[in-house]
Amino acid sequence: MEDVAALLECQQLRIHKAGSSPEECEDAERVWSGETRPDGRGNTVVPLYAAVSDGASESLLAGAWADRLVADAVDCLSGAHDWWDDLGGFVEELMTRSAGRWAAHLAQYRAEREARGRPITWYEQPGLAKGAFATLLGAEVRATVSDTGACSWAWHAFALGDSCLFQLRDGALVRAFPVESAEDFGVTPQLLGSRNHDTALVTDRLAVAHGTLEPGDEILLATDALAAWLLSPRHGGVAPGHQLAMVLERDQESFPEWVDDQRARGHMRNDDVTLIRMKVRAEA
Amino acid sequence: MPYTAEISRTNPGCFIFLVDQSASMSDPMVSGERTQARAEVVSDAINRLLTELSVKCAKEEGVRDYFHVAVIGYGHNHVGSAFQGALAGRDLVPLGEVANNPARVESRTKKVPDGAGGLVETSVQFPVWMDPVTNGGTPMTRALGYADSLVANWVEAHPSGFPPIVLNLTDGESTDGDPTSAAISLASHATADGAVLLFNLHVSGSGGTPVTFPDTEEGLPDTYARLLFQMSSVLPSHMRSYAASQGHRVGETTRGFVYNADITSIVEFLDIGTRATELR
Repeated sequence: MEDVAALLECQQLRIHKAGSSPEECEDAERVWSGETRPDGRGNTVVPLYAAVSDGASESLLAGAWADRLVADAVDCLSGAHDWWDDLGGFVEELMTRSAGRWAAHLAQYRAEREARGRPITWYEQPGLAKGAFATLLGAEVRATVSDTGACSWAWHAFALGDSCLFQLRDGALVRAFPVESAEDFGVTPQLLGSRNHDTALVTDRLAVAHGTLEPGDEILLATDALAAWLLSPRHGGVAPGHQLAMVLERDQESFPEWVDDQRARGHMRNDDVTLIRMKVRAEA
Repeated sequence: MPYTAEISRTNPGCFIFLVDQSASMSDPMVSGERTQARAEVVSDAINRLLTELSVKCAKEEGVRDYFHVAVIGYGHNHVGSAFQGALAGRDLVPLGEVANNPARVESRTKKVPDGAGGLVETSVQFPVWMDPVTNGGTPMTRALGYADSLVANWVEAHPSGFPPIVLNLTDGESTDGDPTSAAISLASHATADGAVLLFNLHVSGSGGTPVTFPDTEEGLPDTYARLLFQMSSVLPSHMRSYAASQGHRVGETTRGFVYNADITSIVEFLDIGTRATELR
């Protein structure tokens, strides 16, 4: 089954906003190869879990919160098999891990600041009281291998906010989730707050989607600036996936250079950019 | 599309507050359930605006310089910086420096929900950059001219940035002539992203219903209010959207004018990135 896992290529990229330092980047991403397991129907499942999160600029500790969320999201995805069958239970587990542990993180942060002789100031107090906020997108790409050795591919994703999943075939968009139009990005996406303990509300607002993959298909998980670029009509007649693939398959420096160029041309908003790219090899 | 330029540390915005410090500002006005001197209402508004702006731009390492801010007072023989304390005498100051240098930080009580349906008093820190000052005439025309110089320099240095915002807080009784042409001149400066935005907060003893972001001068109680309404810029479309989301009725001719009401909410009109909003 290790051979099956090798059929899924995976890249992770993160570029900070121009004018900010890399440490100030408030996006986070995580990928985790899960354990191969039987699915109870005579097949073997080979999963890969991925998550991206975009911390809200106007909240404090948004980067740390986004880091917490992606780590907890892949943990929860890998801990629950068909997690979408009990979405309420899945959300409760996620929020218990993330929001439940945030108070301790905050207490530690305050103590560290005190120890450094830089206690919390009046202008930080309201933001810390309000909590940290971030989007969250989690996905599982799953290969299911039957006892005859036939392999099928599928994805299952959840989203809160405007971090997006795209399915590409031959470089063209086959599916965009949860935002489907470039005009739908704004400065008030749905966000998961560190003080939100309303499991029912989060479960209700969480969007869930599924799809099947063919050999050669790609899945992209992207934060909003790149997601908006992928959905914009300005690609000069070249499929967006092809443009991106040319950049991503060149060398390590190409992606930051390309992002800078797109920003300079006004084709991409200046914001942190995060991308997880997963490609099912054609030979699969 | 105008008024969409990025506001960031590399492309900062410019916020100029003009504060009427004339003798007439010692007259009382009804503010909520209290009667206060107009000068006190205005200095409270400035201190709260600077607080809200600082909180909005605060990150873990301090307040980011997304804006450069000036507080210009105008009264007897004086048009110039109204900052007190370490910033005294300064015009445009980066926001991080403003946040780190209030003249003092007071402790005030505030009523907050107690979680059981009631209210409980709690102590909050209230930074103060300026105290009420009342003295002499109201050289509003000169004050607008002073802002004009600051704005001209800013626009030259930031030709493609978000245009400067000038907020004038006054009882409207200019004593150095009709300020209209100075206001028109000020609002004629522009960056590639749009013309300067001139907003007015009118604090008045004339009474009547408080008005927030009107689209007509009909119903305003006196000539001062109407003059300040006419001097005020039409709100750009994204600001109209925020005003609407705060429950104000807005149209395409809605202006940045407030009569005897709170104007602190304009800080929410400024886009510096994703807003921290609870899930609904």
